[in-house]
Amino acid sequence: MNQRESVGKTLLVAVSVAFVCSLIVSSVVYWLRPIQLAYRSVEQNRAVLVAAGLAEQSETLADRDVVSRFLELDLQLVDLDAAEFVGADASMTASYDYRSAAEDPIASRPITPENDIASLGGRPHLMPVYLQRDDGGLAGIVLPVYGRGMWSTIHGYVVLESDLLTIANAWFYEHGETPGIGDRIQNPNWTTQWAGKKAYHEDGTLRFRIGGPGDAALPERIDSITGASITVAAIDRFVRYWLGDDGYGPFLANLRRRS
Amino acid sequence: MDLVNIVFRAIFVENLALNFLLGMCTYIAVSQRVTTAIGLAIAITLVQTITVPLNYLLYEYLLGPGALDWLGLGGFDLTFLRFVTFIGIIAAFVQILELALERYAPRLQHALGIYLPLLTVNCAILGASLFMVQRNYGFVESAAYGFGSGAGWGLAIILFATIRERIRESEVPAGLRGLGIAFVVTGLLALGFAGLRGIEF
Amino acid sequence: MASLPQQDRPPRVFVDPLIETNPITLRVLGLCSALAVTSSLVPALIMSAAVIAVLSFANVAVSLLRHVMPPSIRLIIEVTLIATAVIVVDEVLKAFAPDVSSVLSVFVGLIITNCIVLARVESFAMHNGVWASLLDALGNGLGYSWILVLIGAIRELLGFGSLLGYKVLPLASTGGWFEPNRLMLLTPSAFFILAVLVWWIRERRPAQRKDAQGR
Repeated sequence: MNQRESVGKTLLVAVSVAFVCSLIVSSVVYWLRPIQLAYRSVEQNRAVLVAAGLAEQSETLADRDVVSRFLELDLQLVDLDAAEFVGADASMTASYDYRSAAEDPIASRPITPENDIASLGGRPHLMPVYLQRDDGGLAGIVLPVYGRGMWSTIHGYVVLESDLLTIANAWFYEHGETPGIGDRIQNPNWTTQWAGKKAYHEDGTLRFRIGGPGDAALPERIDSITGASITVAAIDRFVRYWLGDDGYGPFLANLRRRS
Repeated sequence: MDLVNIVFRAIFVENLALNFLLGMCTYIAVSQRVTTAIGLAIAITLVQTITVPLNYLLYEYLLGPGALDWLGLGGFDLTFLRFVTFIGIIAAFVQILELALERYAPRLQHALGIYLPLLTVNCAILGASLFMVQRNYGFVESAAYGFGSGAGWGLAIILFATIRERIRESEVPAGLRGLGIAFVVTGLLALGFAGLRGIEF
Repeated sequence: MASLPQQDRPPRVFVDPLIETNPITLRVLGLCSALAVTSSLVPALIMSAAVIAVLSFANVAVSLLRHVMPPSIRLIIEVTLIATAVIVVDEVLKAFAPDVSSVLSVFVGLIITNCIVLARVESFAMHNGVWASLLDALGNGLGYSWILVLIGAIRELLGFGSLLGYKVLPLASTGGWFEPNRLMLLTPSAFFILAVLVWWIRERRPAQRKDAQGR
């Protein structure tokens, strides 16, 4: 018994067991965290899927399916001012919430008045983007956008095609606009107009517009919605902000240059 | 009123023993004599009142999401370590309690026997701390909940012990004697307490 | 508690805990995390799987380490190993079955304090080889599970008229004849069912009975 009781031996066993157990527990948690977090934001993730074309708007998906399809996308954090990806690990990326960051004075910064065309006031430093990959290349990118509508804050996703110039889709999944009128922004008849429109010119300057009267001739024009002009004008402003130089613009320019 | 509510609900409506069925092993084993049961009830109330708020502090400033902000390490979420660390706190406190009882109440310590150190792995004690985390109690609320849940469990075991002492005189069918009738009595007690559901201040 | 002979040859190690030395009905262990989750069948099944997983890991781990474990920290090491297994099981459930995980809430964590695990680890795994310990874990785990599953099935069937979520009995509220038993939805019903179960087992196995003093 003396031999077993030696302090050194006790310490060794204790430390080894603690080390091995910590290793097991940490690895499991690290590996599983993104999946767990995906379940926590199922609704938002479902919206990303609809925007990316991985799910139909009217399709009822079990949470499990939402999560598994969602995990096919490559979630990355982008530093908008640095116009670059942030190399955070999967766990921290998955738990980033841009909505709470927007309220946090440390995680966000004010927008200068001349840039603030959508009257947002401030915006987060980092935004999550969802990359669609195929056969090694980039098939598309999903960009979260938000801004103040007529009655509420509208949240949505704008999807760009692999050339990062053309819009593939838009989906405004959360809003509190006028029922029956403002919610037509969720009507597929309107959102299909977005598909194929050029968000940028070839040189990268912003081209996106939702048309007002007098823009009838513009090929990139997306029609407004009768009776919901205020809501749609708000969307026009904040989408132009997010796609512009104070938003994703510089980052997308960098990405285009690289691929 | 909020604190009174927490204590009342912890004792009667969400009794750890009779509603959540926690701490059953010790509950059935130590309820043979009323005097021992009373001693255990006091011990558990004490342990709960101290460990639940302690665990709250541990969770709030060390383990929870963003807890390590004060160290500048706000990005960590060590929630998954709560099981091990809570038991650590409970084990330490039970050890202290054991030493104290040995010194000041040796007869009680002898009567409780192995069930005193077994409080370390008592489901009810760990359960209370886990519920405290789940319900996001603050510090004072944790203390109130600790007291209430401990007292509730204590009340349940005292009631049970008094009934069991009476049953010794009864004619219980052979197959039901001991464990079987204990379950039936506990079930009836639980049913009685379930009638208090919905009472709030 | 009455102590029954338990032969240590491999088949008996596995088979005995199913009825002869059932952890719940004979040794009165593991009730804590057992009864509260039996209101329907699915949580009972998942909980059983969790306990079997934890028990197996703990028994095997302790059995592997039994010769090098210093006596002074024996208990802490056992609890650490058990806690590790529970944390892993809890995280896996949260990732792959989040709905059930929220129903089970704190009870998965409470497997750490589940008397069955600690008791088997202390009394069997500390003194036996790895294979026997694994069998013991599986036997006790299954002995625990069948009771849990039975209670869960009875409570769900009589309380909701369904099993595993599928409607089995036609409910009176939808034009059928079955009036659900509201008592089954309350936790005391688990006690009553358990009492009947213990009664039945002890009628068949008189050796497990207590004398008139309840000892």
